[in-house]
Amino acid sequence: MSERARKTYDVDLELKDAGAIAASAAALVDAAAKILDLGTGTVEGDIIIDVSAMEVASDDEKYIIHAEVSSSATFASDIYAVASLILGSSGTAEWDNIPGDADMYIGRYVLPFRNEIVNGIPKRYMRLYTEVSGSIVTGINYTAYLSKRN
Amino acid sequence: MSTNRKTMTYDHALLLHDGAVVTGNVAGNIAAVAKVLDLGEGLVEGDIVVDVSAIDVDQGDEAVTIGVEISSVAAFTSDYYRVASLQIGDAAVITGDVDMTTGRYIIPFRNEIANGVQKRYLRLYFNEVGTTTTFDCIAYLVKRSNV
Repeated sequence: MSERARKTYDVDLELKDAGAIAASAAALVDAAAKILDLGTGTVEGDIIIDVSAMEVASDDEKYIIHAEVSSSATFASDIYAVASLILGSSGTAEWDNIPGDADMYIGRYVLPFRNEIVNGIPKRYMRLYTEVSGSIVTGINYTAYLSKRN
Repeated sequence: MSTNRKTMTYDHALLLHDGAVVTGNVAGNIAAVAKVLDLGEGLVEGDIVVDVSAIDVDQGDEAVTIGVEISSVAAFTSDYYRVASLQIGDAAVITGDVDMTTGRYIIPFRNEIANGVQKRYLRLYFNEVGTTTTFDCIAYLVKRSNV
């Protein structure tokens, strides 16, 4: 059974616009690092990640999309990855590259998110960070935005 | 900014790891038996509560990744995927710039891979790295909380 998640898109909550990533970097919108101010207190939501292209030709490509939070509006310090989604090639054998035994490839992913670190401590600012490894030429292309939880 | 350590109802049937010390790479287990939850058919959303009672970061290279994995196979012998993960440990090796050590973590969870394809079975899987890593936690699935 499957039903592709449908969510209301709010441009103010866009976390990454289209653009290929071939090296580890913070997510951009209009070529500028995108950081959301979530305000004080706890925020729950779903991060919609639409992957349009992904290089897996060498069987060693891995792309980890981290939802990061911080008390710093510029992410200069106090940075935590509170949820991560690992995509890419499963490699040539089970657990060879990413966890599991099948590629995590293009399509729509939903990454549930809370802006809390340990013991319910919330952090006000969030961004996405893509960690890229493997034999990369073109890398990964995706868009992402934060949405209200279903 | 306020702190609000979450309290949630514990259901023993949804326990994912019972507090046994984790060594190396291992699936969540109860009484030394790998624990797999049958979520039934369809979409399941929830929070996984992870109470970390011990993690050693003395050497500056220790980290533990807590992976949430789903599969269509009850034994996780094939068709399994990691759909969410949380890495804690020393700041030198985890993403971020601050140690993440003991305390209560919440990992929000959906039993979906790409395009809403759902998988029926759920487990946790731990991956340790570092020279002297010791790690211990209790983990269980709960109904999603209201903030």
